[in-house]
Amino acid sequence: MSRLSRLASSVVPVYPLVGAGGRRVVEVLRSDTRVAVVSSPRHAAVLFEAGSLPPAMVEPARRVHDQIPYPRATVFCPAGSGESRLPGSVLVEPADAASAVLDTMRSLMRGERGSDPDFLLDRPPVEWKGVGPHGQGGEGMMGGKPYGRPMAAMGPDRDGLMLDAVPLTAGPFHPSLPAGLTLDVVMQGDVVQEVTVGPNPFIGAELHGDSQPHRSPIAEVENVRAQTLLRTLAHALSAAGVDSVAARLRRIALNPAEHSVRELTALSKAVFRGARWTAGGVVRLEAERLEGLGLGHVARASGLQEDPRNDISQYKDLGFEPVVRNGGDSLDRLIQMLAEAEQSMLLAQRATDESLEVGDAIDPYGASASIASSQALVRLVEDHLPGLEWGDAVTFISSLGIDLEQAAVHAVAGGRTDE
Amino acid sequence: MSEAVTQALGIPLVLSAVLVGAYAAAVMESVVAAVTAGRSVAVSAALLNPLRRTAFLLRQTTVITERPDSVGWIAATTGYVTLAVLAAGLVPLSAGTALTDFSAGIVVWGALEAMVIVMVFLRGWAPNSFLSMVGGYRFVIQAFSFELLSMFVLIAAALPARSLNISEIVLAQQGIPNLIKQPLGLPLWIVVTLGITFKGPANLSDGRDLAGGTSAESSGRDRLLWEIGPMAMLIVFSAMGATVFLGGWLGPWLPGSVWLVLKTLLVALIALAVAAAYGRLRPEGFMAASWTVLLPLAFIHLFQAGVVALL
Repeated sequence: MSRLSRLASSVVPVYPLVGAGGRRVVEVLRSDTRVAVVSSPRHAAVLFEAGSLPPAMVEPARRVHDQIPYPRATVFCPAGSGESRLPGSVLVEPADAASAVLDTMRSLMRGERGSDPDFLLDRPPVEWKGVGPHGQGGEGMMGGKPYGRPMAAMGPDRDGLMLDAVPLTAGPFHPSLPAGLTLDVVMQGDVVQEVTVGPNPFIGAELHGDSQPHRSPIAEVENVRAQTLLRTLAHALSAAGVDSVAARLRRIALNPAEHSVRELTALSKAVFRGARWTAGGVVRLEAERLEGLGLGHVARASGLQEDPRNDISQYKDLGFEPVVRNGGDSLDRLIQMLAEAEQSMLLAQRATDESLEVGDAIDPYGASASIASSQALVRLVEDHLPGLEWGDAVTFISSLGIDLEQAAVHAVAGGRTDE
Repeated sequence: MSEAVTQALGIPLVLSAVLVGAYAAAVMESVVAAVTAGRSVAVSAALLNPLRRTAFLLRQTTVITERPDSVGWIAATTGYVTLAVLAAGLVPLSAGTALTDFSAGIVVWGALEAMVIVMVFLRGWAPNSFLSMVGGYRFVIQAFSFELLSMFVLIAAALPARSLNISEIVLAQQGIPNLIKQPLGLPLWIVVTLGITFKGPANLSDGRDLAGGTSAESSGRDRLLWEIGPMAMLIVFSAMGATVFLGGWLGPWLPGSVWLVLKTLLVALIALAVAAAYGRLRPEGFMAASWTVLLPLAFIHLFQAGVVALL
């Protein structure tokens, strides 16, 4: 192997496709320093499929695949019972996913493994007509997405610009949005004018998850809650560009039970400092509009003391009191996640023998654990995104903790498939 | 040796120095990333990672999007690196030893800074991709803010020297560096450095919210140049900061060029540490901070420098 190839194969830039159950797998992969999760498919060499792809995500996955430059390879890491994956992907086991990805990269760089071919044709579906003065198809071509290409349309006057309303689709594999979330937006410049949230692609997929009530110790429930919150917070901080703090949170989230609460508390200043300028003042949600919707940390960050654990005696015996903040903006929601993760780790450490029935009341997945509350989160997105600058839109969505897969698990359990 | 020959030899020397400096900045960045992430620092990995990235990007194909502005794309990427090299030529290694020792070197520096706006905007425009375009004009709106800062800070540094010549500015710091005489100068310069290299809180043009922004469609050799560019610019701006605030080549015992290198690395380290600690500023927040906090501070800084110079 040439020296160049040897050097090139030592660090693997990876773009993740998060399918059913894949989020956990990607989080473990991120903690391995031999792998760099990148923000654009153009920056990657390996496409990492984590979990089975729901049918609605297959076509977008093929488009992302073809955006990765040559030489490229695809690996598939199962995360449940489903095995829907892109053709030609290398099967790897979750336990040694990073090593397998590195081996794939080496064989790719050495030339032992050929580059994955394109799935889609690399030519326009319709010939360039050459009719208009600039070679375009003639007059009247404004707006929409003819043949997949967004065209600017007329919109309200913005500083003298009227022809700049562009329709776009973000997701389901956007690096800063929750897995599976698709937004059909109309942008004028970097400001969102209209938004429609696409249907949950995990509905109808083979899902990894169980919403049926069964006995579980409080410690286990609270550790899962802490893990979920820390991973969501880490994702938001990565979107804000604070990768160092995100890495520290992800390390704790691998297994919160093995870390002390003090370790997490020591990160609170770094989290605040890192998130303050990105999330401070972004979309302040009033408590009155969130009451009774079961929005978990989102509601508590706006001052509501709603928490199903309030009414459970075992939690009261452990000294549980809901953590609340009064600001209600995106920074408050992120700090709320951190505070609740600390509380969960503390409860888990105190709860040595406690066990009780798990149901919706103390499901560790918060607002995504019920159909009504996950629908309420989607409505918040559709209500508040118009008028936001794109970066603020991403920050706001990151602060909500949307988990479409968990919402689908509970929708299926509840017999609802139209979410 | 004739001046023309000296300058002809100087160009590859400056280019080499900039590339070595960019490599050093990349190594420091990975060390800072490891330390701030609470990981142990693997020195060999930190030294090899920039070379690994280079090898990978040389192997990767350079993707072209549909109907890009190809000329603009190449011009933007190479132009940004070229501006870094030209700016490096203004930084003196010792009295009168610079590739170009203009009598108004500060003014030339300002002109080069202004051209950076064109390069980054063109970089966002060229791929014919929406998120790249947003990255490009985000840089334009933020650059107008921090480049004004830069001019006030540099003029303030020139006041004690009563000259716009960069070597004279260094000589005026014999005994007391401008860091002491003008305490606001270096912190404001760090802000400018982060802005011009779009790092940390100033990374509005290439952020993850834009899936890489101006780099969203970049791969292969194009991406390699675009990774070298900001690192080169970081080291050059750090060198300028070391020159106008820390006394440049001045210092005891060691050769002047060694002092300049050490001071440059110190300024670069501070900039990288700040970049790692703070999340991306909102465009609105950046504008508000620049025009309502930083620019007034720069006015105060300039006024204070003027008073001290007059006394």
